[in-house]
Amino acid sequence: MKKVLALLIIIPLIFCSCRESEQIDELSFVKLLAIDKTDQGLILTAGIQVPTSKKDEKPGSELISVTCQTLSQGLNFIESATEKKIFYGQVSCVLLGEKMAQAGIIDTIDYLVRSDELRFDIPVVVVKEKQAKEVVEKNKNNETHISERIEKMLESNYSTSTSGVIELSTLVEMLEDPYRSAYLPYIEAKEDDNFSVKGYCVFNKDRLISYADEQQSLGINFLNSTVKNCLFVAQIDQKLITLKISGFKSKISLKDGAYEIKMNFKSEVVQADSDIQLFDKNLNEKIVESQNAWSEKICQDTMNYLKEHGCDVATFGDTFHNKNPKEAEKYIKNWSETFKKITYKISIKSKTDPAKTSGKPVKQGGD
Amino acid sequence: MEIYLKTGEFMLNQQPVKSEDIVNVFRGNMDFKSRYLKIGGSVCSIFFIEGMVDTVALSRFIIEKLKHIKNISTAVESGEISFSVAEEVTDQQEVIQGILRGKTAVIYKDETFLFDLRKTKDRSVEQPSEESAVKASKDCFVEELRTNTTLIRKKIINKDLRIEQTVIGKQTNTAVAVVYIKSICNDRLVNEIKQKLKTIKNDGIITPDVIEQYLKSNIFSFFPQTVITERPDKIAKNLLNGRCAILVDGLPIGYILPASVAQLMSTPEDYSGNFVFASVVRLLRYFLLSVEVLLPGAYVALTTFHYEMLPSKLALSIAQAKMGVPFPVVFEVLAMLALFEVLVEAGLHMPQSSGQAVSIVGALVVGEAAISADLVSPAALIIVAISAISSFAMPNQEFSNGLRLWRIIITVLGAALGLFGVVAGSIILLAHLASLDSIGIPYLAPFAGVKKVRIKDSVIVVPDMINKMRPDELNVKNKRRTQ
Repeated sequence: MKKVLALLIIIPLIFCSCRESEQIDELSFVKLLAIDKTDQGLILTAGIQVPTSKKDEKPGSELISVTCQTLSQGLNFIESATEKKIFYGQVSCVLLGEKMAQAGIIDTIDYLVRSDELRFDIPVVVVKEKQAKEVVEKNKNNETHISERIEKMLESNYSTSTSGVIELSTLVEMLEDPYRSAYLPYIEAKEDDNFSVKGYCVFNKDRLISYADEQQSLGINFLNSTVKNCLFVAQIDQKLITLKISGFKSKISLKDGAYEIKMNFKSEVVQADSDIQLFDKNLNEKIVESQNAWSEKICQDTMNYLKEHGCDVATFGDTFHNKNPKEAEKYIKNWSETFKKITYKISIKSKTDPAKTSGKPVKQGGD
Repeated sequence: MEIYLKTGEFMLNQQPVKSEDIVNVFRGNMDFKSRYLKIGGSVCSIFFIEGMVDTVALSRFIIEKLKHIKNISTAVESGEISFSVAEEVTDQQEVIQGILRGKTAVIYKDETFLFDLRKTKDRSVEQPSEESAVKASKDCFVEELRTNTTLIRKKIINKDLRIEQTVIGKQTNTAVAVVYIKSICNDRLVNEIKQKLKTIKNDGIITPDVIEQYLKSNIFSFFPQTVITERPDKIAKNLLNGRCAILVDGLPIGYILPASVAQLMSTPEDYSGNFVFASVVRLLRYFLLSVEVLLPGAYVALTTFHYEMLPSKLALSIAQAKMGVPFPVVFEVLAMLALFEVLVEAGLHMPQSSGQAVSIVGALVVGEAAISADLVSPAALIIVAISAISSFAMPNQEFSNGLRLWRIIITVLGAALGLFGVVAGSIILLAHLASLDSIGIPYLAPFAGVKKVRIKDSVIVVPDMINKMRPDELNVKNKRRTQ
């Protein structure tokens, strides 16, 4: 009798969550969210992929754009504009318009992070000088969905390391860090309605203040040790040698009130003129010298840029805090101003491997 | 041969042998034959069952010799009656049992002898039909108990090999033999098996499940707690490991005890070739075990609750494939699983002549028409097909049958509670397997319930020259194989 009673209680409990379930074909998947700010409020644009009943066709693509006061209101309006239930768990990119980024992103990011459907690994990208909605609309008819294109562009940018993927979770960490300034990749629309990933834009607290160029963005990657690989062309004795930088590591340390930026990397020769003796020791030293000078210049230019804007995008403040927390607390509120005055030195260790170019070089007349 | 157990009547009612009583017992049976000879003033009675006895041998070796004897025992001792299988009996019930088993009873001057003149017209030893192997031996058990014990004796030529026989079943009086190697097998194991066999009080053993039921620790479990095999080499291998076997007269199978999941996942083919390849195949089997049980439930859970876990393209592809299907995913999967069981059942019972028709109907109905009519989605069909094929990759069909039932339970839990339900179902299944034991040995040995987890010869196959120790969990007398 007790077992029967127990079963009568357990079975309804097991099946009570059936009400929460939805069939997968009754959903519309939002692939991209674009958020813009206007004088009237917000413009929320959702790029939706809808499965079609014709099995041979690709899924349909739909853009829904609504004007709203708050994000939750906007999502509600989007839901009411479609015949199917909206599912945000497949969002693969969040685009922020320039004005949105300049007005402050913390409220937006706070809402997105608290959503129970959105994933934390979504890349966040800023659109330069335009509304995110415009870029999305102009790319509506492209065969590949714009969110996929942005994702692939960000990933392929690792070959030059002039930008990178900043996920929602990383952005949250940067915003919550009292010392650190946030930075995000940005896209720039071209004249032919296409767009490209250009570099990083930097924030002061949660407001966009400046766009870094490609070299400065590379420098930001240097400081944060997020370089995957990049190319550097060295000119030695009027000959060009292309080197691929890999295995990049950097560390920021504080000693006697001054910062030291240590960079350590190796490079491989990927292209050189056929008459260059790559295994020559002197040449090797010149290559190392050249790449050290190049990386130091980039780092210095980037530091000047960041100091000018008071944006500590690396871990200078955290290093200070770890070294001397009590002292650091005095500067925590206006760290951006303090950062402008820091002194630093750069030390670089690099080596080069000439052996990567394999095969016999092609020479004129078989020399 | 030792007779260690007789049915209750035998032990209590020892009656002297009288010809008239024997005739009365078998009165009315048209195949019961009696022959009376007058030898030296006394009557010699010969009783047998026609069809079970070789009458030519009876005439040549017994009747012909009886003409010139004074008494049977002297004739047997002196070799006058030179028939090799002769035993003197004093109990009437033993005589009756012997006649029923095909022996010939000869009663002369207060002496009764049973001569084994049985016809050997049983089925000849053939190739195994259910457990075929490319390189291993090709003999399998038959219905005759003595033939089966001979097959094992040919493989283990060892004086310590014990074949102890008993009789079970009040109506059928079926001979059951317990086989083990005395110098290896743990005595506790043997005694427990004998004890369990003693508890069998029923009409008889006609079907294989009867013995199994009494040997199980949990009769409500879906999983087998003995390994049933038709291969003598499999039994011989397990006897060498320290296990016991049970053979039943009339059944062309043997039972291996104790059973464990690791044993149920191994085949004789594993030891026939390269051990590296065999290890990979075994690992694949364990993977397919989890696919068989979890795949339908996980598919239902992901497409009903956890869409974010699917890659975008896959989610869209599944959604697109499901467009127009009126039923929920769980119904599709359960319907396909049920249809699969129907096809399996039809395949078992259909006559061979209609086999092709059923296969075509099954393929057309399930593969083509159901999808064209948008009754099921292709994704659900593929998932169920993969799960079904995985179930056939299991070496032991009884174990696979148990998993098939659990597959349905886990699918329902997945539909109700998502991945939480699938995981909960898996944990309950594991807990259930852990709670089982086979003659005191944990069912999940050598992975759980033992002092030391053993990967050798359970998950991976090791060559014989490395595998020097017998399984720990069996607590054998002689742990090292080479001694």
